[in-house]
Amino acid sequence: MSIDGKLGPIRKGLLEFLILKIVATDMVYVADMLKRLSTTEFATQEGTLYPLLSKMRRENLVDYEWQESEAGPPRKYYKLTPKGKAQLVELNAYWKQINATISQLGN
Amino acid sequence: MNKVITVNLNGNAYQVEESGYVALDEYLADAEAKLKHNPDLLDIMVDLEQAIADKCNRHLTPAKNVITRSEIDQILNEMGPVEPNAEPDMGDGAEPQPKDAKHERAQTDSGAPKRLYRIREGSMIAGVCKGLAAYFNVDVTLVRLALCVLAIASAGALVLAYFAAMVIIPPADTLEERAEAHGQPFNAQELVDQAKEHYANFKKDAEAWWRKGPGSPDWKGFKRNMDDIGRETHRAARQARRAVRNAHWSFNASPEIDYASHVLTMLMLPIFGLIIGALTVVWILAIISLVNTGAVFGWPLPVPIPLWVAILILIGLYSAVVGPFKMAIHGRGYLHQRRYYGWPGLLGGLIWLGCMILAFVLAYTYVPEVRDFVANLPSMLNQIVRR
Repeated sequence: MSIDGKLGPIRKGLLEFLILKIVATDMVYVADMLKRLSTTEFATQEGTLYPLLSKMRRENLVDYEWQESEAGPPRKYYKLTPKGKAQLVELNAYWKQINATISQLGN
Repeated sequence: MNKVITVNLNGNAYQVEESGYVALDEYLADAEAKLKHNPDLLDIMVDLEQAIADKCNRHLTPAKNVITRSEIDQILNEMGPVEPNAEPDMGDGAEPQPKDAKHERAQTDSGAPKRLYRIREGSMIAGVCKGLAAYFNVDVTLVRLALCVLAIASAGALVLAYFAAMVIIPPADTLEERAEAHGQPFNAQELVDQAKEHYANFKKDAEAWWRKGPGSPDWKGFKRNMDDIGRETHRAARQARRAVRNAHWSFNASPEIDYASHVLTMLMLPIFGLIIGALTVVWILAIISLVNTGAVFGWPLPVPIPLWVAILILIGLYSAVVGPFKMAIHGRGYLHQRRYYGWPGLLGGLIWLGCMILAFVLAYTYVPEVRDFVANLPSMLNQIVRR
């Protein structure tokens, strides 16, 4: 298996965590999220993000509200629900723990 | 020179080169197939269409109003393939989907359970022939021809059989029943399409309204509506999907009881028909006697009112009395996609009539104005006529 074949699933698994992080900072809509991720190794696309957001909304982690935009129709702006905030706290703690474990095991 | 096709993306029209249209259509169809088991399918499809529309806008200028094939390719490339995400409750969307598709096709091929129904749409008399044709999967004209020939050959005995069949075989009135008559599994795709169209139309209207500007007082209400409609569409989609699931279930489990009760009520219906016929004869005789003698079967009118008002009252009385029986025959209201026929329909009609009478009696007894109105009605009507 190529190295990218191994890294892909890791990135995919972390995407939801990153979305929670982005949504936590500000009310954002999908194009904002894509832009913020585009410069990172987690760059993703609408085709992935919309289904993921709908799943997160079903799990009651995020919610959206309609807001007007300067041009075109109103947009869905996403925000965290209390449950989403709680999960982000948990994930952050877990991520730190993983990091600590990884560095503990040495190079 | 390339042919251009106008597409509707989430309620806005875009002109796309033909080959680009094909690519776009493929992308959206693929997305829909991949998200087939996603409860938010409609929501996501609307989002995807809107995202594509936004990207299209970037390629349009006042001087350029067509999206080219290469631009569509670029847009779809930016969109990326739709990835159904792993769902804890239904497994990875990508995995079970092909299996399910095969499963459904197998259902269609093997044929869902078939039942003999009368099909009244496009029928000549009562739909018996159409029902038979659907049941045996032959052309309805052949069935009708055979019936005519056999009716003559049997010296009219078959005509009686036809009427018997008309009474005994229940009509296929709901979508489900019609599908059953042809032996097709009930398909809720139409419902889904309808809901989608409804949503698209709404958004189009809403956007026109929205362009009036965020300053308009309706603006807050609009946003609320958007949310409501979104939720409603969502719910409609879920219901449609549930209907698909239940369709398989109901074909296998419940028709036995329903079918039997249907046949029973069908036997009751001629009796109601006879009652309606008798009432109609009495009514016509009453009108004739009223016109000829100024009294109904020898009972003079209690208050002096003009003849035409008396006739109107008779017509009203007739429809009030016959109404419940008509409801019994034509069905009244829906319960689980099924009309009430026979006794439930009659009961519903009688309750309705009873409520009307009770309401009038109560109003007459307790509201003096109503009593005055009724007392003054004859003289009022006479005045109108004299003028």
